[in-house]
Amino acid sequence: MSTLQKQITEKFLAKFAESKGVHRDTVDQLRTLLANGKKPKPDEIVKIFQHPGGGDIK
Amino acid sequence: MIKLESAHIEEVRGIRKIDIDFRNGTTFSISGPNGSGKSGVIDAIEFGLTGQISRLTGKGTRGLTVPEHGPHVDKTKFPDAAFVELKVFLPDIGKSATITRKISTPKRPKIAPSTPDVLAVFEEIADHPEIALSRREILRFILVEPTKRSEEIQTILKLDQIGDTRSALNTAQNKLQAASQTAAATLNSTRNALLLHLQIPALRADELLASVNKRRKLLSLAEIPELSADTTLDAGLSSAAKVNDFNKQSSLRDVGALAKAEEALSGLAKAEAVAIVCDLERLEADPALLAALQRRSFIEKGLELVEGPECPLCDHIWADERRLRDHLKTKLAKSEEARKVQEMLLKNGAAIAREAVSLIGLLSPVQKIADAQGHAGLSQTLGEWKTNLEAVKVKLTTVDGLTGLKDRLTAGWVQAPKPLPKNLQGLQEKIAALPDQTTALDAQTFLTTAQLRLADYREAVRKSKAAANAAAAAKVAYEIYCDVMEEELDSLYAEVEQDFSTFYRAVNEDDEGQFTAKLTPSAGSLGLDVNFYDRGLFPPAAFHSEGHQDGMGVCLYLALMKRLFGKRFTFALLDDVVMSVDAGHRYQFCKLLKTHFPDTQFVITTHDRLWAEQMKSAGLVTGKTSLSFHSWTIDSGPLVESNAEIWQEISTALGKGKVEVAAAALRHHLEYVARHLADQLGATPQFRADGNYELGELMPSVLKRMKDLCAKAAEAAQSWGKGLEREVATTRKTALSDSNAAMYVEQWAVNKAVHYNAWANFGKRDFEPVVAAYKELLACFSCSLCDSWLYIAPRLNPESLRCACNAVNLNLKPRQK
Repeated sequence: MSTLQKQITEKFLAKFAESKGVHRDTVDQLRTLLANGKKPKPDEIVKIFQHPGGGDIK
Repeated sequence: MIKLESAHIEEVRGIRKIDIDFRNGTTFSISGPNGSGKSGVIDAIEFGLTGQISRLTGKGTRGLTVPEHGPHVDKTKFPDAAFVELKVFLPDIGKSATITRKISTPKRPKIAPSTPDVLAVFEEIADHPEIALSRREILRFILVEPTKRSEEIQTILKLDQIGDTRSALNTAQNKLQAASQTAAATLNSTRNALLLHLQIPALRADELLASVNKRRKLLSLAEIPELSADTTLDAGLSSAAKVNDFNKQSSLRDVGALAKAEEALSGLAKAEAVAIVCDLERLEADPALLAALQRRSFIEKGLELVEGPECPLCDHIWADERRLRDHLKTKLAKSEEARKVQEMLLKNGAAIAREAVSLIGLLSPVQKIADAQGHAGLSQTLGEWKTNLEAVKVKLTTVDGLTGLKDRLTAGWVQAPKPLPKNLQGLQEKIAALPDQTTALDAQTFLTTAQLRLADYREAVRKSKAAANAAAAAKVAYEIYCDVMEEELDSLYAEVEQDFSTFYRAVNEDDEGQFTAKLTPSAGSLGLDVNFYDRGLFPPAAFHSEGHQDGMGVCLYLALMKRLFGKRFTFALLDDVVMSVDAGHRYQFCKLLKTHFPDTQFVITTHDRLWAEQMKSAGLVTGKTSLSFHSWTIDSGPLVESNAEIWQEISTALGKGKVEVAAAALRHHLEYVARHLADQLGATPQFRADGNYELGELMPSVLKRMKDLCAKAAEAAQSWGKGLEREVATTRKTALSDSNAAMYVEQWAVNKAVHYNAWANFGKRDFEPVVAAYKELLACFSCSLCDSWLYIAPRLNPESLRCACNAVNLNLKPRQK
């Protein structure tokens, strides 16, 4: 992963974690997905957001 | 990153076998005329580090591959013999390591030590082919249109990976948005079913409870005072009572609702269907647009599946994954009009899909009623229709699916079973004919059905909310990513702009000390304008000379690499990149590299001898950190000037019986030495405007000049009464005259028919004396202590003949009488 990509990913995750109603699990799973340096697949991201941790409905 | 310590190259590109000592990772120059093998060394080092050779990829290289064209031309069938071994130092981890890469197995280098930290460094560098920059490549930053420049800079900064993440987040949020809309349609459908059953106009808790409590009162059940998430509307009914949920009046309303909806089916989402058919017909009438669109979805899918350099669509193996993805992205970019058509098709498809969900919501309860009332035929018909609509709903989400639905969309996408109104009427009549339910049974089944529909509604609410939250969170994520990306890129371009201007000013401080540049990023493009002598900002090619543009390319490259690697920018290969920059600016360029990149090892090639000398005089390289090739042959590869190993090489070749190889080596060595000595001693061959002196023209004049200088030194020593110096000069002159080789050389001068090319036809025993004679002859032109070639000083009106260590220092000026 390039330095720039790493910087953008870290800033993005930090800002996203501060957003209202965002579940910590979602941020953690996104971090894991983006940290492997491979091109993320849209369906993998969809799964993360559809995960119960991705919403605030109990 | 790395520092290169040494390279051993065998049978790669134009190189047969060469060892280069990079002197512990310091900046190094390789010079030589065009075609002498300099770029072959760059190719080999690049291959050793990355497994790629840039010159065999990109525009104009179709049909060229590393496996086929990486080996020396005589080894294309034996790629195993072609390999590069590099010894490097890894500053980040303070370790030395060796990487050996064969052309036959470019993806499997041998790395020692193979510890994870060492492997990680090599993996990183393999992912950065931009460490090698050729002149062909620098122009891609300068003389290109803004969109292309943006692509090139994005590639070098690996912005494509950032773009991939942005694109994946965007696609994900679109998918979640579509899923949320479907969930909302389902919610709407379940809400309508509940309202229809309860006979209330709006889903408000008080109205719902009023309707429910009215029935509960009839059954002497406790009224429900408040509606909460776990309220059960039929609470208190026995389990047996809950088994029957057939409510005559509610069923009549369900069947009536479907019958009423059926009357309006022909107009359901008609405008959207018409729009889709229009777009599909437009595609049929425009085969190019259709092909672009078909390719678009095909390429989109392929792009999603890319994992490595092998194309998932056609199995073609690319030089690397980046190039494959660039290729696919370029194809996608070309079909912008197709993208708009695709967007409209999917938007209209989604609208129809929402109507399909509502319709399915009406069908489900009626199917259940038909089944319960013994209308097996109608139940089956409705079941099949429902299944059919579910399938249509899926097809409405893709362009291919919509294309397959064209006839159906033209004829009416709903395709209600033909006898439906009649059958629904029959079912209605049958239900109506049923005896009225007792008040108690009516109230009981009303509550049971109400609870079932409330449960469906609650589930739909839950799913819809979850889907909406997921879509909203994904949208927020996408927007934040875009904001962060834009912010970082703006800051990056500002830094690059500043560094680029600083570097360019440093190179051109004499005439463009006020130079500034402006990088203007906008959607998908990056404009570059540069100041021209304070007359304003213009595109680089507008007024600047070719040499200045070259300089801009290198400066922009350096600014980008600095931003990409920061302090870890420790290595770069610059292949003939500043050939158009004039002499004064080259000196400044050397200064730029020394002052702004003191920790970076540059391996610089040039075909310009003067430029090679300037690098030395500017202190960028030294005699020990520079290498000169004087020529190249297909059999020998690059021939190194002033090769200390030359006699050993010739001896080895003769030992193997390869007289032609030994002859070629000797001839090339003499060509270099003759040219060098002619320059150093001030020989006077017959002038040629093109400077292409033959060995037969140079060597005799060099021999004559040396004899004259020795004679002059002897005379001068005599005039000063220095017997020892006189003897030294005379001895050297005598040695020259006595040399057998000198006789050959003199024959070249008088008889052009006698030619050294004939050496190749000699036998080993014939040629050995020739070699010995030339070794003896050339010894007369050098210092036996420091091995340097003798030279005159000063060049005009020389006063002495000397060597580098001053062990030879013959005075040429006689005593004034």
